[in-house]
Amino acid sequence: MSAAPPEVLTKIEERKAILTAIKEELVDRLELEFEPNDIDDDTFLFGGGLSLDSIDSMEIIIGMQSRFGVMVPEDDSSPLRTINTLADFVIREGGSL
Amino acid sequence: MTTLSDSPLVSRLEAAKHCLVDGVTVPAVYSDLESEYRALRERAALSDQSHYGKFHISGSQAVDFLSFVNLPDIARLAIGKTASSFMLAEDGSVFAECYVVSTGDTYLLLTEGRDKTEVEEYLKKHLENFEATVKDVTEQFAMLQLDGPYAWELLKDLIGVKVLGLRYLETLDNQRIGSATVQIIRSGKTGEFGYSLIVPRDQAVECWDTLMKTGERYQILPVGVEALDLCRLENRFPNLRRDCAKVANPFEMNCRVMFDREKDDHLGRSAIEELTTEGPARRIIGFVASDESNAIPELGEKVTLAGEVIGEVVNAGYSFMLGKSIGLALVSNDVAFVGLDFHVGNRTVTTSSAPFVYNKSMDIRPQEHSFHTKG
Repeated sequence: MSAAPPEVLTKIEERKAILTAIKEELVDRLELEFEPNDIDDDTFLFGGGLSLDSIDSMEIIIGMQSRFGVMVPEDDSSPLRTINTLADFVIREGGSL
Repeated sequence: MTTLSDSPLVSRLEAAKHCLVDGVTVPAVYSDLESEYRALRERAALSDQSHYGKFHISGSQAVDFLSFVNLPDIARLAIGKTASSFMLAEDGSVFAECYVVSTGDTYLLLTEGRDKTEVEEYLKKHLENFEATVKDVTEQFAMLQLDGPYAWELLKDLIGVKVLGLRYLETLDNQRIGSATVQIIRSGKTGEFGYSLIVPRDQAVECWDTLMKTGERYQILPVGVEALDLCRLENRFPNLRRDCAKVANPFEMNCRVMFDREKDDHLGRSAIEELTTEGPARRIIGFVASDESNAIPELGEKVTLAGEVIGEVVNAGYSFMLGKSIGLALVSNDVAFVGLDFHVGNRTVTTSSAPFVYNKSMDIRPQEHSFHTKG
């Protein structure tokens, strides 16, 4: 374990909590064949990575709203790239666990 | 080593700068890196991929053999589909990157990140327990790559609307481009629309010239490895020549989802399985410089957090789209998270999510848009 300053460790723990919640939501909602821990934070949602499709993207949008109370605009696909870009969006929009 | 003169496209590969990739001399930059980058990101771009090794794998246990040497389960691959994969060594490290193309009775293996003679030795070494044969067809075929947000439209002009139905990692066989017969794989490592074109060696120049001629209406440019590698970095596709040269296993490359717990035994499995509980010691994380200098961090430069060395820079470049230097650092797993400030030398960098950029291709609907209306 790196001797990171306490404020950095706090920031990491806060992000980890959101990342874990996103992975759990996706695995549960999309019935993925992965355990949440088997998904890296920078895993792509479409194309390679989780290999999801356009129908799944609607489910992700619904999942983000129900789990975090944030609404991904239908005309903005920038949050829907990786687990980390979803986490960026949740944090930016003030989503709550 | 393969020199430029060995390429079937030698007359089309005159460039300002060449470099050695996987033992093959290829164009690094034709004329100007930024112009080539803009063609890739905004229009259409063509490149020679002579550095790929090409092998036909056949026999009753071809699929078992390919599953044994690859990280994902190739048995799940349907005919007409392609797997983007890593071939592993016994210790679970990545030996080479590859595409596995299922064509029915035979598989086409396209390899990158390793000299093709080493790949052939590796394949033959691990072949002994399988009813399968490996045939090196590298010199029989050329491989071209067409990338860009309007690459699909250029191909539509040549082979018709069927290209619009081609999904990522699907293939179209026996297509005519000019008088050349071409196998097309929807692929690419730039984040834009991309197509790999496998063409018999003696038809490669015809195919190249037809694409360049038709591509004039899309302001196409030939592009070298430097522009392709920059786009690859921006979109966080692994690069065994750069960021992945120092990783110990696929988990450090954030490729954990490629590991299939249900798959039969394969090369490196026990080493990889240990990682599923322990996690990797290090992991690659992206970073963006906080300043707007176009100075690019050096590979191998130390990365520090609060004065402590936590890793090193393993890839870096200047993103023309962001107007900032970007890079990848291989750092301790416990601090490989987004939103932290690290130091590279005396510069502050902030860790960032993959990918670094938003691709124009994300907003293009081939049924509605066209380069000619800039829509």
